[in-house]
Amino acid sequence: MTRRAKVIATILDDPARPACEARCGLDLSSEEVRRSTAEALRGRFGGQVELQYTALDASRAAVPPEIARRLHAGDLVLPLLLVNGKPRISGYFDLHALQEVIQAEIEMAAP
Amino acid sequence: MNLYLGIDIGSVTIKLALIDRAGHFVDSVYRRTQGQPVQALQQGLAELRARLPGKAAIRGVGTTGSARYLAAAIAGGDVVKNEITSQVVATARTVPAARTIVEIGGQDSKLVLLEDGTVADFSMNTVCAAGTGSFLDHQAARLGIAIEDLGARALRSRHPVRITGKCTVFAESDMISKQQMGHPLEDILYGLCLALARNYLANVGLGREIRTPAVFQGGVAFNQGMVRAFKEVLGTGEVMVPPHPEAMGAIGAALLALEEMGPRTGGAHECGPRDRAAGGRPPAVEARTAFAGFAVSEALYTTTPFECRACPNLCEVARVSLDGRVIATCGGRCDLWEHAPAGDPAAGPARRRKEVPASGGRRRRQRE
Repeated sequence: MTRRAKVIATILDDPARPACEARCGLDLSSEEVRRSTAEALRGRFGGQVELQYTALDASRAAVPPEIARRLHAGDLVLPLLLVNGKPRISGYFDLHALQEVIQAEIEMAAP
Repeated sequence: MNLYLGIDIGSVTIKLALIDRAGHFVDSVYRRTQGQPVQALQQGLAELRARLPGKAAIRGVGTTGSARYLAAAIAGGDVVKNEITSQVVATARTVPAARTIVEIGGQDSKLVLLEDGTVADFSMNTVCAAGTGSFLDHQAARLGIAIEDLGARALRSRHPVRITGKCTVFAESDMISKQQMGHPLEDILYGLCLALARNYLANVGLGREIRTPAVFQGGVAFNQGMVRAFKEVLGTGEVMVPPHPEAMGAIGAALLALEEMGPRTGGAHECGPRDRAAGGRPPAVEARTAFAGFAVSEALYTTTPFECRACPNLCEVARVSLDGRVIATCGGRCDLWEHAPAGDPAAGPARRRKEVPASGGRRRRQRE
């Protein structure tokens, strides 16, 4: 049986930032949303995917330097979805988009 | 004639494409789903069958798009792949020199950067409707023009107006304001195309270099106003539209089906993934397809909605049945139910505990 490579989905967010009033997409600053999102990912991908959430107002040190530079330059915006460290969605996203991006990453990594 | 079928079923449209054993495009169908994916798939298959030569046989089926698992359950899919994978496979075959794929569909858009035909980077749009085909649809309907005519009319623009493209609400009010000011409709339409192109680059393309030649595909690539807008915003003429831009996902799915199911005794498909898994020795005969046959287009499916309580979204999900047997579930804001094995009463006991019938458990007929 082939062991599947782990996929790390990281959401960088600043819950204190001014947000679009439409409030579309996942609000992962909510612990309940994070829990249900993680559960949905487990249901879909089993244990292959790990969801991480980093609130930048609390910890900027966790941001990789290149991502921090691009955020500072405005080349990326928050919330930012990184999959295995690579920026995939820059801005609000929903669960479906999150799953699609992870699925694409898994398919591309397949031999 | 042996053919391979690709089905790309999204939230707004369904595309079916046929290729032959050599991977050449044979035919395609493009329809709106009108919120009824099962019926749209049946109609698409019926349309395709009516145009097929008498001795044609489907030897493999690939499905992609947001309802790909539903399509695979109904039509009999041999390969189920993500849209990005399918788009890349089709582009690598159709436009081998492409370095960027710009894809805009009904409700999502993607950017894929390629190096030597493989994916170097990709990104997807945010959840905002600004920058998707549905926004163009909505505006065309509001202005009383057919979406098919929007591009041609936009090309007649001489002095395009500036429309804000960051938000659909602002864009619409901006357009109304420009109409009230008396700007010609053509200038407003091309202004809208420019706004959408700018939105795409500021959203999906943010921080990424669009390398040329770029290939523009997805249903929105039909719109010549959008093609011109991308060339103008990118400042390059090297934006190509492939011969069947709307069907690239379906063509890619068909190519993946060919790779998986096609003959292994020679030519380009001598050794696919299945062969490698078997130790590198190609089988002597073609694999047997799971294709359920075109009779699927005449089957009577029923859908039973229920409310999923797996998370606070409480989505309405539909269970699709044929002759009393559940063959697929679809709908909702995630793929939780789409992966439940067909006919598996457990689709997990834990899951069953999290469902309640929607609207009193009424039944709807997909096809009368």
